[in-house]
Parts: sequence; structure tokens; C-alpha cells
Amino acid sequence: MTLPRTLGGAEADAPAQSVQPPAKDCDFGSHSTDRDLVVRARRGDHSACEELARRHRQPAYFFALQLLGDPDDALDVAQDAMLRFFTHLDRFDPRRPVRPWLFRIVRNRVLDLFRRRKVRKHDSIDAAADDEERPDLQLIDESMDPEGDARDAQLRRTIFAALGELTHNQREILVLRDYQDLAYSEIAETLEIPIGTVMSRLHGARKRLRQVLGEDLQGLLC
Amino acid sequence: MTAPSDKTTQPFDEDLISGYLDGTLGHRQAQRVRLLIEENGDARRLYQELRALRQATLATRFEAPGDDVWPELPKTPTSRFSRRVGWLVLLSWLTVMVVMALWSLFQATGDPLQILLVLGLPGAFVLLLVSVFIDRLRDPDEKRYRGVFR
Repeated sequence: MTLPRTLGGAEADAPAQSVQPPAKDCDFGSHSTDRDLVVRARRGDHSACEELARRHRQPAYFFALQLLGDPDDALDVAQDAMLRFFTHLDRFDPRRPVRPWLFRIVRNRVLDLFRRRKVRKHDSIDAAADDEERPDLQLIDESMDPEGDARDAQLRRTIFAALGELTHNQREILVLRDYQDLAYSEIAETLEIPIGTVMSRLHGARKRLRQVLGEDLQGLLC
Repeated sequence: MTAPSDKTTQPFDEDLISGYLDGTLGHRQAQRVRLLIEENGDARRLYQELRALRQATLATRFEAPGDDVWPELPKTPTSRFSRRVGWLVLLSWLTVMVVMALWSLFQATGDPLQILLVLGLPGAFVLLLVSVFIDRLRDPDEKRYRGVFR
């Protein structure tokens, strides 16, 4: 199969810094489904590769960012994951959703990065927040009513910072469900765990997050 | 609307509250959890907190990198294959040549000092190059795209 010339696709020079909500496997203004695109890409269709890259590169980046907390590292991981995604596309079953498979690649790259750097849990998200030389995570506030939504924005920032206190297992399942909005079946596929384990592990992560937030959560909810 | 009253304070399975929040329970189980939330203050508080957390996380937006930071893919499978075979052939050729040269040199002169004088400088260079080569092999995976932002 051929690879797309760029991961950025045809609009490589576009200056836009778009803000992307988590997206599911579906049409993105195009008439092709992921399944169609994968089938075409495996046959060597260059434009299908470009479209797949355009659809999935940013979710891959966001997932890496939510696990790592550092934009530079997240971009490295996402780029590498996209490269592997296309390199091994012939092994992928087109009938299955793309997102869990891609996220599994991202997850493995993140784990590799941790191993290489011998990173423990506190060396990731919270360390990134403490390092003044690292770029700001730049969570976006889309508020039309700054005063009224300031508390919500603060809650979002507090929650994201609190993720750094969770174990890697807790963080990844929470990110997959509550940031990426994956279904339990997709989470099970991504993490390679039984679907029955997802609910209990997810609740364990949420419970730990509530503990970490403690009174902050109560104050922000009032 | 009246505030819900706490009719029970019995312990409950917290996992089910998570499952209810995510809409993954069966109809009958969801009905039971719904009643529990209405009747049990602790369950209700837990549900409200989890719901608030989920709404907040789902509403979180991160700044995305621009399209221009996704660089051209550096290697296609074909070029990677060619590169690896190329390196293999080159290293094999180099090894054979070095062994043959050493053997010839040893046959021509039996003097170790002379061999050391002849091989010392190129040997040092080779070791330095090997060191750089090893570092280069280790770096690409980690630093392939370093400098894209800077």
C-alpha cells in the first residue's frame, strides 16, 4: 500500500489552530466512511490515506496529550502513531472501528516513551505543569459569558490538573471515556481488557479523581 | 418542585452509578439505580458529582496543533526496506574489506608496532563513527520530529 505524502494532507499550509471535540468514526463532511477509506487505502488509494490522516491525526494528538500532558511529547507520539497506523494498515480489519485501533497504537507509544524515560506517574502531567519551559497546555475556554462560565472553566482546568495524581491505568481509562467519549466496547478494545472490567476500573478512576479533587470539587460544584 | 427526600441510607454498589451515568445498564438495572438515586442521598450526591465531572471533561477543549506541523512522512515501507538492505550490504562489504585488509597487513608485516602505527588513526576514526552511528540509530524514534515547533 502507499502512504499519504503528508500526514497533514492537502491543507498542509493552512494556518488554522482548530479546536476539535472528540469525534467518532463517522463522516466528517465527506461521503466516505472510515471503512471505505481503509479499504481504499489498503488498495493504494492516495487520497483515501490523506483523508484518513486528516480525520484521525488530531484525536490521536489529543489522546496523547491527555495521557502525557506535554504538547511536544504528544505531537511526537501522535506523529509516530500515525506513521505506524499507515505502515500496518494491511493488518487492520476494516470492519472494526478505526479509533480504538489507533488509540491502542498511541497508548503503546506512550508506554514506550515512559519506559524509555523511566517516567513514573508524577513525571508526566503534573511535571509538565510545573516545568516553566514547557509550553502552556492551552485549554480553550469557548465561553460567550466569561463571568458565568468562569467556574466551569476553572473546574475543567482543576480536573485536568488532577489527572496527574492518578495512576497511568486510571488516567487512560478516564481519558478514553470522559475526554474521548469512547463506548465501553471501544475502551475494552483499546486497552485489551474484558468489557466487564471497564465499568469497575472506570469507577475506580472516577472515585480516585473525586478523592484528589476533594474539597475543590465541592467548592466548584456549589 | 420539591427536593428529593432520603428514604434509605443503605450501602450501594457505586460501580452501578457509573454504569448508569454512562447508560450501559440494562433497563431493569437502570430503573433500580434511578430509584436508588431518588431515595438515597449518598447515591444522589455521588451521581451528581460524577455527572458534573463528566460534563466538565467532555466540555474541555484543547488547542490543536496547526496542520503545518504534520510533516511529510519520512519513510515509506519501500524506502525503509531499501535503506535497511542498503545498510546491511554496506556493513557486510565493510566488514569483509576490513578483515581482508587486516589479514593482508598481518601477512605482509609481522611487526605489531608497524600494524599499530598503520591502524591506530583509522581505527580511532572508525570507533568514533561507530559511536555516532549507534547514537544516530537510537535517536530517530524519539527525536524524529524535534525542531518542528522550534
